[in-house]
Amino acid sequence: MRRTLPAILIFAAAAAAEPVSFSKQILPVLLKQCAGCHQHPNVQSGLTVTSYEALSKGGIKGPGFLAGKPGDSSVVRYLTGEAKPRMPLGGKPVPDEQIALFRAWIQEGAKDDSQGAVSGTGSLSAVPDKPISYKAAPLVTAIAFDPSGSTMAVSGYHEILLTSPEGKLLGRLPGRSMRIHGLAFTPDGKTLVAAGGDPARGGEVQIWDVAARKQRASIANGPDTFFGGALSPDGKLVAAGGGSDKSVRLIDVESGKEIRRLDHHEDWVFQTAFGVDGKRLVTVGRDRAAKLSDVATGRFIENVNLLREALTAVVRHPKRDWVLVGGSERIPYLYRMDRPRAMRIADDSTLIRKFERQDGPITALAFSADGARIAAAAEVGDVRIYNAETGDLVARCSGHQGGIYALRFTPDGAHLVTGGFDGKLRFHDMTGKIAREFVAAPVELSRGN
Amino acid sequence: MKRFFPLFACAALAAAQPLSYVKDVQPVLNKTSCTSGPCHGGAKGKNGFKLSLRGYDPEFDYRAIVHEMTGRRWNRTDPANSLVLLKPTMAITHGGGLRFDEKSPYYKIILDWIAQGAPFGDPVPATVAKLEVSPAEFFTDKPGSSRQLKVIAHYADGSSRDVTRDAMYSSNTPQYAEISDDGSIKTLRKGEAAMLVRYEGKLSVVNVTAVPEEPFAWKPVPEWNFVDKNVYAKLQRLKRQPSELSSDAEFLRRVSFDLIGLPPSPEEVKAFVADKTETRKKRAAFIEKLLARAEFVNHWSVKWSDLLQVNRNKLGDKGVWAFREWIREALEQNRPYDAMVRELVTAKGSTYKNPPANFFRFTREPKVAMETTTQLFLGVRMVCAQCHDHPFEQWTQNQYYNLSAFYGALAVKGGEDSDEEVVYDKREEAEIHHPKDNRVMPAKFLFPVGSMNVREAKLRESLAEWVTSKQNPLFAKSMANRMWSYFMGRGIIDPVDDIRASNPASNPALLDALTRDFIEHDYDLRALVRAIVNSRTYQLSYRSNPTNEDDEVNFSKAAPRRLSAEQLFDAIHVAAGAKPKFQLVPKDSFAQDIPDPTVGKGGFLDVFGRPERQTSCECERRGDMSLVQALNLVNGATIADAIADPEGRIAKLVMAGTPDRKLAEEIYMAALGRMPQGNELDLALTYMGKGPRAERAQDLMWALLNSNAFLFNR
Repeated sequence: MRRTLPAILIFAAAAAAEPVSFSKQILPVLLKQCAGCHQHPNVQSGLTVTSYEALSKGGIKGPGFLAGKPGDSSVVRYLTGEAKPRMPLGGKPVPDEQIALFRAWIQEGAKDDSQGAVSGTGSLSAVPDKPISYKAAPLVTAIAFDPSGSTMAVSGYHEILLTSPEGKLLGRLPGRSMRIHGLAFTPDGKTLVAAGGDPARGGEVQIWDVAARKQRASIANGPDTFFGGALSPDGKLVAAGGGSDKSVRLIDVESGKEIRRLDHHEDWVFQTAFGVDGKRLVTVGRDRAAKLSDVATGRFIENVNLLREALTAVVRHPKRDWVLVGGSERIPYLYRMDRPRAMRIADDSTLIRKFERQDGPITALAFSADGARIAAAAEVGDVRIYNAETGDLVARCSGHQGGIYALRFTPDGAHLVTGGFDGKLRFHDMTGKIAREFVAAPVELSRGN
Repeated sequence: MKRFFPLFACAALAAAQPLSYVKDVQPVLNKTSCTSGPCHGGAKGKNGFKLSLRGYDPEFDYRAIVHEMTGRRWNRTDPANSLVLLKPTMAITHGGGLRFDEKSPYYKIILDWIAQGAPFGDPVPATVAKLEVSPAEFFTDKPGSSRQLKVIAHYADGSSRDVTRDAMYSSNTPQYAEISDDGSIKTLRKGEAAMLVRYEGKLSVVNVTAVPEEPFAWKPVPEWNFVDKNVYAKLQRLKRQPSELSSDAEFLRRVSFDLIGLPPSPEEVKAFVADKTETRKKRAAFIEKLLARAEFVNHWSVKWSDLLQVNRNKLGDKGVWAFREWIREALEQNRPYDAMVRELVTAKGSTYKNPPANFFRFTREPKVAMETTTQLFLGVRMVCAQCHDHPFEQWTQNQYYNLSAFYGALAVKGGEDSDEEVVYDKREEAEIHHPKDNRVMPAKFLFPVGSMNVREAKLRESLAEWVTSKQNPLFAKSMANRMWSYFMGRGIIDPVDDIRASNPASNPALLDALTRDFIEHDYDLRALVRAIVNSRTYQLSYRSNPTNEDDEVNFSKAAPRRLSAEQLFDAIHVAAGAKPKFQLVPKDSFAQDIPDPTVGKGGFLDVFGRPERQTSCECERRGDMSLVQALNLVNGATIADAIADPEGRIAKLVMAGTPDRKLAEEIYMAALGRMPQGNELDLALTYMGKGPRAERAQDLMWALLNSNAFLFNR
């Protein structure tokens, strides 16, 4: 029985004119049927199936296949149930005709025609070939002002929108990333950096020449979107949280190259902030930690905070090495970045100030340019402005529908700009009153109305 | 990727029906298992994405999908590129595998909902008020045949729709009838099963009966009381003939173990078998004698002590004796069951001076006290609802805390003696808070009973009135069911302390009749026992006939039950005429006299499943068989020492020079409560003739004590 079966399959394969393609016929099956458990970060039995190299390398049960020997190849043996347990574990068996393709491909020498490409995971979508048409305002997930305060960058869908603070659309910067999570202008205002990506597919840092409206570099990497994207004070480095791979990536703005990867966190990293002199970096994540690292070496120095609950936001005081952090616990905490003495367990002596508990998990924080005010936004409820020195509530900014995901003070300190679920940018004065509001994206009016 | 944009516009236009999260999307997430325990509904969610278990908290789930992580899980501009669609269709790899594909109606619902702006909707009109399932029951005379269910959800706003595709289905006994994911029932063999249909917190049960079209003529059987009438009605419908009546000797052994925990004496057996009075009358008379015996109190105090966790670790030395004395006194006086429960639920003061206060020494705090109260006295398990709405029942998390609030003031403090404690009601901080938002939960009954209102000033008294009311549909019922299980091997609802709509009674009319009888007798426990054991159903033989051999749930025959740890231990000693030797208790105490599991710990009793009394679950006492038990019986000291006791039965018989034939008969009578039958006597005599008499007689006794006829009550 075992001897006749491959013969039939070879015949079946031979009847097909074309050889079986790994990238077109094998990899899609692997990604759909197997990758749920056999890819980062899961990697059951040490096996990853998302690329030719990884499958060839195999896992604890040996290589995924042996070229020319379908009957002895693990992938075939587990899919047929000849090796127990049959794969996909607990799922419906893979149809016979697909298993026949695996056999034929291995019989033909298990050739790799993927050219190293990994489809599915880790692959960003392409730049849209025509401008996005919006039926409704897209969520606002990032806002930045250029140093002069005359141009704002706002996240759109598959693009960054440049607008004047009055709401005049100045430019559209389309890119590969569906979502933009972080935006920052260099101090000279000439360069804009963005961190983002496609959820569960890949991350990207974009570097733009603002005046030319031209993308200078796209650094696509990682299995999920990039978060954060703070610029060093000299504008030379951008630090992005790598999403599901728990990493932090340091990218050189000039060369557009990733120069360092930090793996100090145990869970997703959501935001980053450099110290005043740019030599150190604070990163916060779902592992509850605000971690201080050395930029030049990538070395982990210590935790800035006492671990409480997952953190989503960190911003630095404009002039001092103080960082404001917040997250699921709903309370903004202001910490000194440096610890004056050796750290002890449960030592919280570097905490400068604890602010009021917000109505929902904190989604964004901001510091005014003079360091006098801070603002906190949450998944529900009002955005609140506080006196950074005393912790007193200064104003409540109401009027939005749904959560606020992005928060910035205007460079002149006159307004706090909020954006989030409802897609509107709202300029609140320091009493909380809405000075103006607009949608940055060019939303089309429905023709039916 | 680019292709998607124009398509989206069409999708938006095509969606005529306005959709909402609460009414349309949430049922899809439940049906496709997204919110199940092993997936995103687990306590920690999966891969950072957490939903509430089976969607009991739609607001939480909506926030997780739409707002959490800056809205990354959906896509307003390009709905088809939303994670909540890409993941379950495996367009992006998904640890949970393929939940549905792009062509499925589930996909379209979610896609259209996002295209409409992902609205939450108004939960009030979207609440399912009633499920209408048709057919309401399914009877077939062709086992193997199938039937498709139709499920209509009726909403609070008066609207309704067909939810057959989205409801969740399961069978309580899939070996008789199974049900597919889309609501198609398939009967497999003769028998019954209940199909559970769940949709958005509402539940409906469809009873399925498959009885083949085969010749069956019911042979009339006498009805001795209302129990028989209800049992026979069901059996006739299922074409099952009950077994024959048990023999006198079988009956005597069975009823003695069940009522007093001990075997009948040889003298009792001889006199009973010789008695020529009509069977039913003489059995009834014997039952009355047993009900009056002191051992009746001993035996039933073991059961009550199990349920009330009479355990030295929890109650202290003196507490164990005090609480047990209270139980014994109640049983002796035949105190009505409702009076006992009222004393427990309202108990205050010193655990020494007022023994029922020990009820709160083991429950200690409001939530556990509430869970114990409902499980013991109403047969309802509330524990799941502490963290989420009950997945298989109507009880909600709110109700859990509303009911706990009756015990909100409950507190325990130290007494004068180091081991004494005092139960009291606190004056401050007596509120129960909801864990989600910390709001104060007012005391509310689990369901209305008559026109009874909560008495705020006397919450525990109020709770006791509600629990024990004759109008409370669960109080008498749960006890009647529990007692029935002690005599018949399983509850009419089983497990007995898990009464819920999704765990239906095998014979509701029988349970209702028993409940009514218990109430009419003002909660007289002996009267309840009397009704059960005087039924002909209780007195049936365990031997089956061709029509009932595969019946396990309709009481058409007796169910052999392994003797409990205490029964077995005591029966060995009674048979061997030996005295047990327990520490910490008065001399010559039997196992049924032991107050708590500290006595004889780690020994024979624990091997045979005596509970440690750590929970109020009936399941803590194990009735199973194990290899350790078999080895203990064959090689252990308990049987060996008892049969070799120099003051014991064998020693006395041998010393008295009893002839072989008489000796063998005495041994049979002592061990099995009957004379040797068939070739048993010949075999015994041959064996005894071949060696030293004392040793051979001990061997015969040893063999009988290892037989199923001895180990089982049947």
